[in-house]
Amino acid sequence: MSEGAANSHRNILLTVDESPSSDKVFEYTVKNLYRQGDVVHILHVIAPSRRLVVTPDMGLEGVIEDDEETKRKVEEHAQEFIRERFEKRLETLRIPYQVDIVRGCVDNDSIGALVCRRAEGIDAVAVVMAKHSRGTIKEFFIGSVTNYACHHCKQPVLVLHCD
Amino acid sequence: MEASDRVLLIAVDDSEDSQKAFMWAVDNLYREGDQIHLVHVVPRLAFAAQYGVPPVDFVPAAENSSYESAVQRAEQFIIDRFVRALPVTIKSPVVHIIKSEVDTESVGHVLCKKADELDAIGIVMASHNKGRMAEFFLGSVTQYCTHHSKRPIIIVPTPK
Repeated sequence: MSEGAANSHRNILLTVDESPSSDKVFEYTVKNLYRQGDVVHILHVIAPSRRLVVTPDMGLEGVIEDDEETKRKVEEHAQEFIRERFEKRLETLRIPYQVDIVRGCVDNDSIGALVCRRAEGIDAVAVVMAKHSRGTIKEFFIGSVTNYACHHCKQPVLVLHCD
Repeated sequence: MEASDRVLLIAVDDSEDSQKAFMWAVDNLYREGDQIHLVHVVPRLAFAAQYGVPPVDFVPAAENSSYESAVQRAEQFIIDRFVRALPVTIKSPVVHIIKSEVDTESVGHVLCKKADELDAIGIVMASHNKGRMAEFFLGSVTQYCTHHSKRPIIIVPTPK
């Protein structure tokens, strides 16, 4: 950061989840993309209160509708991990930030569309995401969200390879 | 202030989209001290296509001159579109015009290899190749790199 340089005012959008790859997304952003004055936007999508229970071979086992207590717990849990893993670091680094925890459909296209909308809404200079190779169910979803964003996002997408 | 010593690899072709990706990198990723590397890959098929023969039936002498002219064209557009557009405060980019030797070695593969060699912090590219086809979401090179690169890929979208 050079003395006398005007402050940057860009918005950087990070999509995070509970996997370790989100730490890589965060670290890369802070280390390589961030400029003094930028605002970091953390986006996390949580499932709607109705969930499908899926077996490892993608068979459908059932549908669970959450009660109010569970809904609250899910939201609190998300807030907690974001606070622990990201907000604390952002505060230490004195980086202005905004956290968005959105309840939405967790199929790839829906999360992807959400990410693209948010990126456009804040006119993000870049959307930073991780891509996993196809593996477990969870990673499959995330990888496909990144795919969707790469194809549809009107803002630059920065894809980190995480395995 | 610590000077940066990062390598920024920008994949370039002779298109406005590519120029846009380059300018994004210059405006948004570049830090003082970074070294910009511009990489253009001349695929083997490109010069075979000039003669309308499949790559396996090449005529060595003819292929050589066709490759030479591909390189010359590349040097020219790289200067016109990229080197000239660089602010004077940024040190000259290193230009790589690479021939992809083997038919099976795609442009994307060459880019990924080069990024590893240079220890680049990422590969910046436009979402589509030159000669884009509207029905594809992503150009083939970008598609390949997004799937295979171990290093970060920055995809700069091009307006439809």
